[in-house]
Amino acid sequence: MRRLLARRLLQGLAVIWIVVTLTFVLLHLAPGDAFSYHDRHIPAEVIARWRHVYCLDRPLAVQYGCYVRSMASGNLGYSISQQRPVLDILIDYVPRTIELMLVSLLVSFAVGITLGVLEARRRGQIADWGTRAITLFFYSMPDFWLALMLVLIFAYWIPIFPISGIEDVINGPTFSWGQHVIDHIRHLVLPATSLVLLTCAAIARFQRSAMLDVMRMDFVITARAKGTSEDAIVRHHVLRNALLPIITLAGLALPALLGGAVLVELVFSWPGMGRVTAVAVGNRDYALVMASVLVTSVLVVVGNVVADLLYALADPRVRAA
Amino acid sequence: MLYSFRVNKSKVVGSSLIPLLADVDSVTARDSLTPVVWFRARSLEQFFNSATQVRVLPAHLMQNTPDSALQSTPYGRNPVGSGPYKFVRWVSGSTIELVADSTFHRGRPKIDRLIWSVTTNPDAAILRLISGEANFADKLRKQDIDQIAKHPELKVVGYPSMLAYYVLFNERGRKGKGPHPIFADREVRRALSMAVDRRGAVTTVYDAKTPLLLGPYTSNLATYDPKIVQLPFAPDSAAKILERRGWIMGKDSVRHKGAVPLQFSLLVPGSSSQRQQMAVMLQDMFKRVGARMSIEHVDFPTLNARQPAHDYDAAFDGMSLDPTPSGIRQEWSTAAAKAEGISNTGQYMNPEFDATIDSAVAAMDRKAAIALYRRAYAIIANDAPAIWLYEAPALAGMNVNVHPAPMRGDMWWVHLADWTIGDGPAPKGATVAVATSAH
Repeated sequence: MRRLLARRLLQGLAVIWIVVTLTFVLLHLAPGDAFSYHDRHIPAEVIARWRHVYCLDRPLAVQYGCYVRSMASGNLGYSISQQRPVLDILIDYVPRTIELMLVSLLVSFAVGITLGVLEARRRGQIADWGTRAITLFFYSMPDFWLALMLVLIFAYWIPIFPISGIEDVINGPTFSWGQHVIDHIRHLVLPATSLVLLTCAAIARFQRSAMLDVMRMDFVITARAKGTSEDAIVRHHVLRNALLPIITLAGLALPALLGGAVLVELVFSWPGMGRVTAVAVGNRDYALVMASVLVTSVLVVVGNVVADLLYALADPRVRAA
Repeated sequence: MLYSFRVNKSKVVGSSLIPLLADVDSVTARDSLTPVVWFRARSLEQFFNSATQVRVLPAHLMQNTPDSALQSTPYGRNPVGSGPYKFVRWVSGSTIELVADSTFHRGRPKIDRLIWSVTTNPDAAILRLISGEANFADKLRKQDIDQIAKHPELKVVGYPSMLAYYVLFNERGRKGKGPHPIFADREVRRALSMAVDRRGAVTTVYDAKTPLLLGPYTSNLATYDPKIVQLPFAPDSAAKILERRGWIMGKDSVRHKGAVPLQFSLLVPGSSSQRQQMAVMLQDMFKRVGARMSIEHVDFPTLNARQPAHDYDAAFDGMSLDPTPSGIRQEWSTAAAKAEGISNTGQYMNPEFDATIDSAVAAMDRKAAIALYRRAYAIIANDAPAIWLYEAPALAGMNVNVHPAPMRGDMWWVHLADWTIGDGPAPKGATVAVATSAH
């Protein structure tokens, strides 16, 4: 088990290094830098001095050296567009993205697994066909389109949920603690729903096929022959075994959710890392983009390592291998 | 004030006011309430530059921080000012909240709270206004006006525009090598300007009321003169000028001068749908006189990086102009071109223009100064360093209950303390939430 963990962590570190290096090179290949965006009235000599201070006037390899040195000393750098340390920005924005992702992940799995079980139990019936068609419909939708449709519906036709931000900006300051929580949850509904609708279809389909595979196994037939009720068979025998592949899916869903979060955060003005990263790319704010990519790749690697470990814990065959 | 001037003139800090304060020699204090600003030369704009440009900074909170570290001082996130509103909180990427200051020297503002609700997306800002999550939105676009018109509880208010849009010619060769084969020739620039039906293009993309730009200044400046002679829309004359300058029509319907085709690219910001639409119209107009223009969609950092490097032929520029006429010197003077910075990247240089502007800035008689500015405007209009297109309308959307005070073109929020809500006295806790798209 320890060897597995060590191997996975080493692989993860290599992946993070490759992702960060590739991002660094690609970002610097794009024309312009953070100071290309500045006020035209700032004298050229001042801009040139700033470029020197931030190591932007040197060859790419030297800039990479500056970046690696900065990382090695635990300094994530300074955001030129937001004019504050990158670490402060991460502290502000990362928890909001993690909150959105965790809520979406939990709801996606709860809904996806439930739908998968329902579809497997009603295989070939209208409920199976109907839910599969609906989930496939949402699964095939582009994420930004789905988010925009939700905005359209809830801004104009059914204005019951706020369409942007994380709080009621006008009345928020007068709210009690409880009202704040409710207000925050109301603001979370639409962005989380977008992500849930996009992810739960895949989970449902995965769960359905895993259930059908297990249902064909001998021990299920034996249980049925012993007179065990269908509910008990599904709950105690089929679902437990069919949940194993879902652990792998959890690791894979993390990068997909992070990718989707960028667009969803932009559409719903959710002030999280996705939105900050998209804006930072446009502003050529290298330090902020690199930190964001670093955080994202670490989250994805950790998610996958945890999924691998959980799988090994749940399945003795993997552990033994 | 002494500290504020020093910081704004410091090249280590890099304030955008440095060029505007170039004439300020020093600042002294007569007593605790009276600063005295000493200038190197007299000019009509002395008072404007010294009294309105520099924001008062709290020296007691900032002076222990070295200039080089001012950008990252905690004060930047917890500002203290001398205006009608006090800072309350800043939720990163979400909101900035201010509250009325009862001790403000002109009395407590009529609206108790101001909240800036920040989005990165102009569509989201308008949706906040429409859904009632905000009661004011700035920077309206043409499509937003149609949306707002469907909501009787909302209104659109215009205010003076300082936004000028034009196609800038790069008079230097690509990447700074020698003169540009096409645009270094003043007559060719004039001919291409005459090939463009500016009124037609602007009316199609905006409307017939959107004012045409006559030069690098807007109609809101006192020096503006609608009678300044403009290059006419005359495609036939344009074709004749091009012919005379050696650009002969080829079999491919493109003019050539020797082996050089009359062909160039136009940088257009990909985020501006209006500029993209207009670029397509310009492409068609140039084609009619035998010029082939390709359109390059770029993002703003690319646009801003390629211009100082002279890595472009022409660029569809938009600029928020200074509220003072002398601002023209920063962008179009020979000194600005020679600085090789982000101003005057088109490398327009005319000593007559420079001298006329210098005289206008130095003139102490208002009428004489205006006459000199207008003479300079005529010179630059004739030289055609750009095709002057339009002044973008400055529009804000707001709830019908919000009654704004006069809004300035450069800073619409300056008189927020005088805004009111409703017909009677403002209710306690009255709030204006401003939805704004910003980075």
